[in-house]
Amino acid sequence: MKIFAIFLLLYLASMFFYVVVDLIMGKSLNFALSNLINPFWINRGTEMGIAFVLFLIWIVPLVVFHFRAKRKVRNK
Amino acid sequence: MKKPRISPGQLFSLIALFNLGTSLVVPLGLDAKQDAWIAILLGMAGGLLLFLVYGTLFHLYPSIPLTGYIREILGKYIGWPLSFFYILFFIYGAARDLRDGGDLLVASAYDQTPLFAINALMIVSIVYVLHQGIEVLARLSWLYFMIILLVGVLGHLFVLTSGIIDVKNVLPVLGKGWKPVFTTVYSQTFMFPFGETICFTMILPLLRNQKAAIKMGMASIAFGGIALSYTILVEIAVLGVDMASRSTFPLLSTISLVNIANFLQRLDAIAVLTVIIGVFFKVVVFSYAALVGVADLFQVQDQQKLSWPIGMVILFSSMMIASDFSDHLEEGEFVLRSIFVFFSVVIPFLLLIVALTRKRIG
Repeated sequence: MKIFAIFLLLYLASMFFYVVVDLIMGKSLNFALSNLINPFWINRGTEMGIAFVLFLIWIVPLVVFHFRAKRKVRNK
Repeated sequence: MKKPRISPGQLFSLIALFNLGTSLVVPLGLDAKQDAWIAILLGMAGGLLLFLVYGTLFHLYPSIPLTGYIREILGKYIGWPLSFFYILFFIYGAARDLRDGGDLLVASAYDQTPLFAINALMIVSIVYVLHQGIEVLARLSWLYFMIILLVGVLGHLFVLTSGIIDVKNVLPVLGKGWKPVFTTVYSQTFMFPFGETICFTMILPLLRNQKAAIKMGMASIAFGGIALSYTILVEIAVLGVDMASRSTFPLLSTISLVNIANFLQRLDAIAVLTVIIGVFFKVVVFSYAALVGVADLFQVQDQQKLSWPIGMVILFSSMMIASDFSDHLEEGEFVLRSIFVFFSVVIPFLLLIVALTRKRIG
């Protein structure tokens, strides 16, 4: 859970950082915000697939580990 | 748990690969025209001075990384947020280099492959190495340093023997005086790549022989600077200054001109190999610096668990920082003159002054 919270914090803070950099460069807020959704403008199915697989590779072991730890505590 | 350690030789190869990284393939310092090689050498001198500052800070606090001694020097309330900004800076640096590499590969060889797919594949290998730890990364860097050295020597031999070098292209030396050279040093060659070595402040505490840190770091920066300067000199001599500065990828353009006896030609693979290895090491060092920073700041015992989250943030960041390649380059020029200077020069100098003053008073 802590790791996921760190991920979210870093992700949101990075997004904020990129918007600030764009604004300092004199670009409009709309332009800066539209850049943020660049990774989600998935043009092809393969790109969506790759993003999904990467996310799974990370999330699945975390969830499995969490439930295993819970089961160990219950068995004790 | 045993603390991982790296040897001074491995530090040398890591810094050398980091400095050569993407800078070997982009038109570095060509705003100074024929004098780009002088601008790189002067940037290297600045880099040596900077590394002296980082090394002195490291000798004052040998067992903790940058994010640790920022809090020691400035206190918790200023130090913690500043350390957090350093983590964002390292992530930003990694994302920029990943985007650089992805765009260069799309432009040079993989024109039908989506940028996201190239960056994702690169990040998978980077996360794998982060997961394995610094010792694996250090051993890998030694191996790839040898490969880059071999490829570099062979590439230069091919260029020299194919007779495409025209020495007139590099003349006149300092034709427009020192001003354009110094402007280029400030806007480009000082920060890129030498200022970026700030991320080694996160790795130095892992050095086995800590006395050798400054000596090895400076030797490696000098090696990287001379290699970069020589490469850009050869590129200008082959392509001419106008063509070299217009090209997105002067190394590729130079290598592709090699033709020995109509037999040895189409050596573009050498340049592409250099890009892939260089980008990999640059991104992986920045990522490792971010990972150490997060583990230090948030008290995470098992660093391995952080490799995927940081990899994902870097991957998405590489797509978020700019809408297209020209926007990416424009932003790059701006951040090199502002954000990089702030994090790589201003803050470390202030930290050193405060640390030395406190030591003298205390």
